[in-house]
Amino acid sequence: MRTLTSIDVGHFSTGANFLACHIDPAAVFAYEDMIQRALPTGDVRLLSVGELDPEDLVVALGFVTQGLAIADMPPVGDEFIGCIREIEKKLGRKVSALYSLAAGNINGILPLMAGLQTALPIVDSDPMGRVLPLISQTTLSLGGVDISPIAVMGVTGERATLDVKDPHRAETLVRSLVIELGGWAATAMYPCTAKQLREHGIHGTMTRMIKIGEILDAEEAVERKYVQLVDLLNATRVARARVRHMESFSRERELGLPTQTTSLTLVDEVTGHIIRLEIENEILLVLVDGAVAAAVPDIVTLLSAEFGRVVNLDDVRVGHLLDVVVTPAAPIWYTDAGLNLAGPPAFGLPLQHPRRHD
Amino acid sequence: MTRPNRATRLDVASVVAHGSLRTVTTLYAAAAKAVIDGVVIVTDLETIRRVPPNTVVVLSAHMGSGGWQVSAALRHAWERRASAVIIPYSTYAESVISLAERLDINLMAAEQDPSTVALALAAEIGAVKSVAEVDLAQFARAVTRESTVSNVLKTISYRLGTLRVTLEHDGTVLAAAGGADRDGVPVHVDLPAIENWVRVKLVALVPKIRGYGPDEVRTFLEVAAPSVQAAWMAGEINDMAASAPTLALAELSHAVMGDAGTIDQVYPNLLATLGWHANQSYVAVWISHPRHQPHRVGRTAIVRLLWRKVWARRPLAEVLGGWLSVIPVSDEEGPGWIEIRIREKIGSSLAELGFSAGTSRRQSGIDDLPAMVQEARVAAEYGIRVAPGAVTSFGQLGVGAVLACTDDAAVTLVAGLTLPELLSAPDRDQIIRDTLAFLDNQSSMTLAAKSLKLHRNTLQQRMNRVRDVGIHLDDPAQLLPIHIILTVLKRGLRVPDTD
Repeated sequence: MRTLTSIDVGHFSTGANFLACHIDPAAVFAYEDMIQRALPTGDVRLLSVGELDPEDLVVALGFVTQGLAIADMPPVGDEFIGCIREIEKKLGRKVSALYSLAAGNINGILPLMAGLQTALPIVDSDPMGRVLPLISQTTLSLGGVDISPIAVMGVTGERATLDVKDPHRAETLVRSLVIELGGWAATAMYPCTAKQLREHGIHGTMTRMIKIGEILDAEEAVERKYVQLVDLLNATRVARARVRHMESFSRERELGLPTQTTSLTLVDEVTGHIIRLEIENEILLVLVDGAVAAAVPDIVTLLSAEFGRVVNLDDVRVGHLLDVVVTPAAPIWYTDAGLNLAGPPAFGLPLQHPRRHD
Repeated sequence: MTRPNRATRLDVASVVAHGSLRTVTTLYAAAAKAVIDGVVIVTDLETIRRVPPNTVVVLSAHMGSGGWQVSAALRHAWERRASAVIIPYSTYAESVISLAERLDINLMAAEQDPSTVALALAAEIGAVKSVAEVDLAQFARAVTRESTVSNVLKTISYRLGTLRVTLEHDGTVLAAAGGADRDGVPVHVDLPAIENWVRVKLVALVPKIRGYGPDEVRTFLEVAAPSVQAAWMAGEINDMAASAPTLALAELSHAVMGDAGTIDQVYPNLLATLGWHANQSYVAVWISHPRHQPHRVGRTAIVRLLWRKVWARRPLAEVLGGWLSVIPVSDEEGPGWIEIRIREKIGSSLAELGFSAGTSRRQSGIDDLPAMVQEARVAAEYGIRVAPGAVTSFGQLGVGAVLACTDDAAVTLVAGLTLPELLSAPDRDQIIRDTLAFLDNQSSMTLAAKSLKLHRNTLQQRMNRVRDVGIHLDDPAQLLPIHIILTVLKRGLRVPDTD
């Protein structure tokens, strides 16, 4: 078990932003600020799943959004507590620990706040190992762990509990509710035992975010930071290139995906390579001269070449010099089942992932 | 044959300029000329990965709607060496054009329905292909009419715009036609395989900037290959028949082991009957192969094909240890011209094959024909030792040539050439014995005198004669050759080995 300090939370926020794959970090920074302000009132305890009793009840927390940025309508503050209570009521037992629905972005960091509010520890595991847009795209789902009961609570205080077996059907129902609840909703889902999370989750992902932050926040040369990142994440810098062109709505999208499509074209001024990034909520695809260099579930991050800071889509301007860094996702995502659930075709990209051979 | 004026293959530039693609908008025109063999409408990226080279890839309206798919399609098309990519008019962006420019692949946008564009292009390709088929049939008839390898190659070269066409074996050019330009993409086609026969291929060098593409040239070569084979085999049969007198001469000189007079005694008038004339001068040419080189079926056919460049009317006869031709020469022709001609025509090829040529001295009449054959053989075998590809004249040999000789007759020939004064000296036998004793005793005058049962001063006095007959014992390089020559000559002495 480890008690997080204010500095840890700052690093955690940087790491969550790094793994957000381009999502606007305003809400992450807002939560970082809230948690740091609330730290004097309690502890944020981070523990490994092995430290729990195998039968302990754990539950995933996460926002589900449908078109509205959380920063545009901040939560009241009791939404996740309400969700946890609903799960406890439904299952008739107490929740022992919380875990993040995703190891990145807002859903990576928000359980720290809920942990402060409830005095529950945070498990150093998650069911995505990165950020994926759909609540059904989890390793728990691959492992056959039930997604329900799902507790949903909106900013208005309205709440619902869903019992649904199929994760894809759950997706549809939750998103319908979210629209009615105002554009986003706090959720608690995948209630399971610590044993189930240990067997089907991805571990060490909270600590990884802190370590990423420690590297990126350090006062060091950019190249030195990259060396450490490569060492930590087995990451690769695909290109250092200048933004040449941006376009929105570059391709058709399927109804139901909470996104808008964007494409970014960069040119590597040394090699002449043309790099094209396809973006939805996160960067899905990297083409180098038209050839696939990386594709979801690879984690793609843009960093400013000058400072080594994470660059988000809203920050990108034509003429910026960026480093395109690719971090492999958890190995389970490159299995056939993993790629079926979270590979390029799942995002409407009719192409085969480079790591798939069939 | 008449060289056709009509193109037998479409290219992107001409089809865009005045063909079925004249309605499309060129977003990027590749620097390199792109020919068109086919067209395909694709609805997914995987299809592009299977298109053959020189295909125009037309993206469906659905595919073209995603900018990234156009980028990926360009990449796949480039990898497949497609001729061009045609996308729906409204979907292109600057980045796509930049990528086409970077990959140097033709990119066009069509306002019409993609299937309409593809069908129009397919019809045009079909029409041109039918013209090409007719043209190919005419070409096949033309090469079939030719009876020599040289003429078949010339016909191929002419039809393909005088590009260089060669017949090659293991990198050695056996026959060639067309331009001297050595730059270009080599396209080769193996001649039809014959069991145990050497592998020979037909090669054309296709210049990068000329009109014909490698695939098209390969098609013409494939059509012509059987005709090349047939002409070569016909020539081989003719050469075999025409070389019969030479073969007979070689066999007779070997069997009788004598001069023409001896042959004439055994087989009266045979040489004259075989076509050798008493009032004609001749030079023998022998081509040797290395002794260790294994015999391969078809090797003689290759050497004969090469030899046609030198003297087509006097084909080589295959003899033991090499190939032989006896060439009639006139007195007006200066010395050394045959050697020069052989070097110019096939010197490099002989070197590549590891062979060497030797020529005899010019002789008048038929009396010395057997000796000429031996002279040429000795010269050729000496050439093998010096350097593959050497063309050696027997008349230019020194005493060192005996190091390449493999029998007494050859050594005697070299001795006759290099030590004529010795052979004609009245005290020849004594000089031979004295000098041999000196050499056998490691140049010790004392030991040599002892072995000859002479006083040292007596031998010293006699050895002064050695230099008079052209033997230079003070030249270390000559000691071994002289030793060999004298050893062979001593075997022919009638007087016992005592003084």
